Amino acid sequence: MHLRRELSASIVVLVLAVGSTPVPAHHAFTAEFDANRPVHLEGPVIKVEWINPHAWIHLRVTKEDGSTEDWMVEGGTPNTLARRGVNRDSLETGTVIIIDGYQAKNGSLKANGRDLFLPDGTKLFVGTSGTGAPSDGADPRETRP
Amino acid sequence: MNQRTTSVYPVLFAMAMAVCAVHSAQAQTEFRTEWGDPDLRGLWSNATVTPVERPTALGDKTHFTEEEAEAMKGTGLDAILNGVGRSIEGTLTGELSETWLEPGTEVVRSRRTSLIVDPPDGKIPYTPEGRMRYMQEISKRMTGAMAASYEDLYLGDRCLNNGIIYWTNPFYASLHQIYQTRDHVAILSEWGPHRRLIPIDGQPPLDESIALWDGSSRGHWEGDALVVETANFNGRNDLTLRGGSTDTHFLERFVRVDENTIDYSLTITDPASFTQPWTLENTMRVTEGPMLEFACHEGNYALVNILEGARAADKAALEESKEIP
Repeated sequence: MHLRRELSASIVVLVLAVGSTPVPAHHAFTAEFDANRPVHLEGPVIKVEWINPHAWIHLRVTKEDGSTEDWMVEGGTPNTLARRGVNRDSLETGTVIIIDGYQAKNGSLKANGRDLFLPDGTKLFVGTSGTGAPSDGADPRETRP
Repeated sequence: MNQRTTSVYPVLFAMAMAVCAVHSAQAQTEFRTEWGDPDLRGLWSNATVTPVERPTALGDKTHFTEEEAEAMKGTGLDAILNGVGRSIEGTLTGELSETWLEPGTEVVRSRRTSLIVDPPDGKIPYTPEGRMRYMQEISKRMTGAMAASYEDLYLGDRCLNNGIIYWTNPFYASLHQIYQTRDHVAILSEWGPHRRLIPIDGQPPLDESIALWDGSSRGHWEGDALVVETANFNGRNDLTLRGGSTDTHFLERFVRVDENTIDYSLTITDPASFTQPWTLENTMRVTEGPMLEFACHEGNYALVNILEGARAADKAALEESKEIP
């Protein structure tokens, strides 16, 4: 039984190591964003666009000189989150968030949000309910056929 | 035994056989619409962790064992990160994460090691032209930085549908709603969105001079199977990187096997793209959903960003060239 489990695990490694025929979901990251322009943004949410093909979270960043910039940060499709009970009301305006990402190539105040956090370190949108709820094992994805 | 008696038996035998045939048919297809057709209605997901092509490392292994299939469960995200995620962009974008993705969770019902069941090696049998077209489509997606116009971009970036029921979207939105009437079957797929209206009333196919982005379908019942033939493609739809010339022909079969499952197969014929017809099989499983509208055009900031990024790159290159003595 132990050997069969090992063999099964090794098959999984072989399948995942090579991967399937690549089917990128859509455009290349590098077509829109600049890997050489990392950004660290922190500020209150001022707007959430819960739209496709990408959700966009707008936040107001206060610079060192006290001036502010309104940034918009790209996420993925909200359809996925909606099936987990997360919607645009899950992230209230005024909520302070932290985003690490990469700025748009066109130099605008847009970025791809690689990591989205609450100030206490909780990752945004990872969970079955609420903005920062930890996964509790009841994720509908896990029970879907 | 008189003559009248002996003439009755063949009739009774035929009637008995007819009853048996009907009963047999009903036993195979307990899922029927109110008007008696096999019932495919419902919300289905065709997401799976089975790869489209058999990984070369598996050689001629055609099926996973039960233990291996169990071990494959839940590896959808890992497969993405080992595929697209290996690219430089895969390490940068936040989308390739458990946050934004809903990949498949298990292998197909047959436990085959690839969706492709024919040819036997589990690989897409490209012609040189077909492979070139495939690479061109890959290039469009990966080099959007050189796009001069929206027409240079991949159809998905333009929020034009791709027909995702034909294979899988390993990332998300692999939901498909099937509706039926006596004379039509409608399939609404979340990603795209992709809409198909398939007549099953025997009307003839369109004249071959009519060429459409999504082709034109005609369906009919063969026993329990909905058989759908699609042709009249205009050759401009990348069909999610599967080539696709004006000679493309699809043959699909949908068979309801139990309360939660439809067996799906697709045979693609396109002499310009493939050395032979090839077939894939997938499993559609009932899902809770809900399926949500993927209204895409209205919020497509990305397309503008990509084109503006390309113009910014052009400008930077021009400035750089001016500095060259």
